[in-house]
Amino acid sequence: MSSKKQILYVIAIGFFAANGVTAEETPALGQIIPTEELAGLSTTVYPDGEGLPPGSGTVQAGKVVYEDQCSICHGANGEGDMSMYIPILASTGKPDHGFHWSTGHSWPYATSLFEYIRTAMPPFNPKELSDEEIYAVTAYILHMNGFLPEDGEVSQSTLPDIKMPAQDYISSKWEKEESQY
Amino acid sequence: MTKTTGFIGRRDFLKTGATFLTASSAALAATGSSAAPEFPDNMLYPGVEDEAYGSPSPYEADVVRKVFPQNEKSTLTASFTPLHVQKGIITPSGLHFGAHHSGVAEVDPETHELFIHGMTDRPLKFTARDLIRYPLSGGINFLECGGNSAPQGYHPEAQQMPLQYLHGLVSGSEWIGVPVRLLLQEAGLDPRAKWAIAEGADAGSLARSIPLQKLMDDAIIALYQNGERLRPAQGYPMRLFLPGWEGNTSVKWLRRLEVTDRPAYTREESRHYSETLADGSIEGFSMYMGVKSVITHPSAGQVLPDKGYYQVNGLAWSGFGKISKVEVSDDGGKNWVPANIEGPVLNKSLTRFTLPWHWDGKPVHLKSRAIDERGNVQPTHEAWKSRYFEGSRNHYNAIQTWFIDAQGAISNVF
Ligand code: HEC
Repeated sequence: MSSKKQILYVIAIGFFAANGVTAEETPALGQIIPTEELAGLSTTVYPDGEGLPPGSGTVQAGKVVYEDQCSICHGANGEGDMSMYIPILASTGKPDHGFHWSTGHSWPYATSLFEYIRTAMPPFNPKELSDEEIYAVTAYILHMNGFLPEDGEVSQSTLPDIKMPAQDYISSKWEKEESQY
Repeated sequence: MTKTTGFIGRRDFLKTGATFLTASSAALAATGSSAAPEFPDNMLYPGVEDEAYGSPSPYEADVVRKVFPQNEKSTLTASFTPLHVQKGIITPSGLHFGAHHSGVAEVDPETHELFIHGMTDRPLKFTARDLIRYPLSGGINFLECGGNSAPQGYHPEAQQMPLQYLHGLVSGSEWIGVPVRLLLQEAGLDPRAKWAIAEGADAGSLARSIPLQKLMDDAIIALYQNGERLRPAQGYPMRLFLPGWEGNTSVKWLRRLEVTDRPAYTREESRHYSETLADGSIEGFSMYMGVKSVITHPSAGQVLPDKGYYQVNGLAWSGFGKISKVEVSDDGGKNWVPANIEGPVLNKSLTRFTLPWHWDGKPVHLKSRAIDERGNVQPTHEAWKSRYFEGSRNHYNAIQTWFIDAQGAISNVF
């Protein structure tokens, strides 16, 4: 919070307290989410690996998943087809054109691959892959980008350790703007 | 005003007013001397009964969005608002732009729940029926896709597309809903919490990391748009609405707010909604939509039938606050004339501007430039391009130039 906003916030609280007004009365209708519903509710995966399920997958197993379920759209080598809005999954480095970034060189965290494939891919039949298949195909995409060897593997504990190159060249505009306004 | 531009000042108007008068009284006299026209059918036969839910005149059948379709490999689709026929700051809900990564989800309001969990004192869930009983607030705001005007940022040469395709991923509505702050307060925030992951109930579970500061400020869970419940394509039964921010962050069909202390770097915020800067680095979390304006009349796709009087019309908006000034130039940016700002001037809202203009029939470059209350000035195309890497196309907010040739044809130029 900018210091100005913070001051306003404090003033607001003071104001309502002084007037004895319950500033923000609501019907408070929220129901407690039962524990059994909470487990498995979140599909979010964080860069440090929080949210990843137990499991692992090899590049070799991922090649099978990829060729079976992904290459028809994303291309044999992850080259995509931007004319059909199919993102480029793999490349050897930075592109010479902003539209031609690959997932491998523009995403800062490999954990996001797991999250996205788990919830959204393939687009016409999402949420059908098993955790093992997702780990495996994630490993294969990392391999196509040159971040894992042919006999490589990722797991719940190792996926967060993959160093994606974009970590070195991504910044947050919101942080810059927030300090300005 | 010196007559270096074709814009009509008040004094010029008084002078030419006499001519208008003479012309119109002549027309009246002509009508008086001829037989009155026959009554049209609509004055002879009573009309049909009104419909339960009204629709536009059949004569306005071409006032529709242009829908960029899904293909057999992609569920991504965009529908462009027909800005070239819009006058005013409210877009009819059925003409509001859409950008859907996994199609338009059909969500049952009876079974849909909003889950608020993570770093809260209590994990809580709400139905739409619950939320409607909360204190509702909101306002008239624009919503703009981070990819609006992308052809301008992307292509090295100006593309000959109509206004609708060039800039039609922006719309304006009155959005009413529950302040997110109230629900977060009910759940109780862990003092270490800084972000929340907002996730939709669409097939792709579209998710964005949103700073709590915004959620505690002016964010709402929108339930109503332009007086009625949300349309399915706008997130029925509930969407997150973040005034002034990149459209993608206003997650539709909102299902979860997972309170946390850090962003998740979801797919949308990893590359898709990020930009490449001139130095080759990537800038993400570009939340605010920059100050922008566009002349909608005249604009590419339209033709000026004749020289003479036109009212220049356009829209201006800024994600940082109110529009404070719009200027128009018809000489390629040498002279700028302040446009009339037609009220209301609202925070983070489309704002209408007009200017009477006289076209002398010679080729002209017509452009508008908006300035917001924070002093942000809409950049030139060159200035915008110099900030970004070739091919980076999101968050294009540069000045639009329309070239009008001697025949009155209008094209898009840089
Ligand atoms: C029917 C075509 C199709 C199939 C099959 C498919 N994808 Fe995709 N994929 C897409 C499209 C289209 C997008 C972009 C979606 C969007 O823009 O919202 C995408 C996006 C992605 C992305 C995000 C890329 C980025 O940088 O934004 C990843 C990762 C991905 N797919 C992985 C996979 C994997 C792994 C499989 C196989 C299990 C797969 N896809 C199968 C069409 C497909």
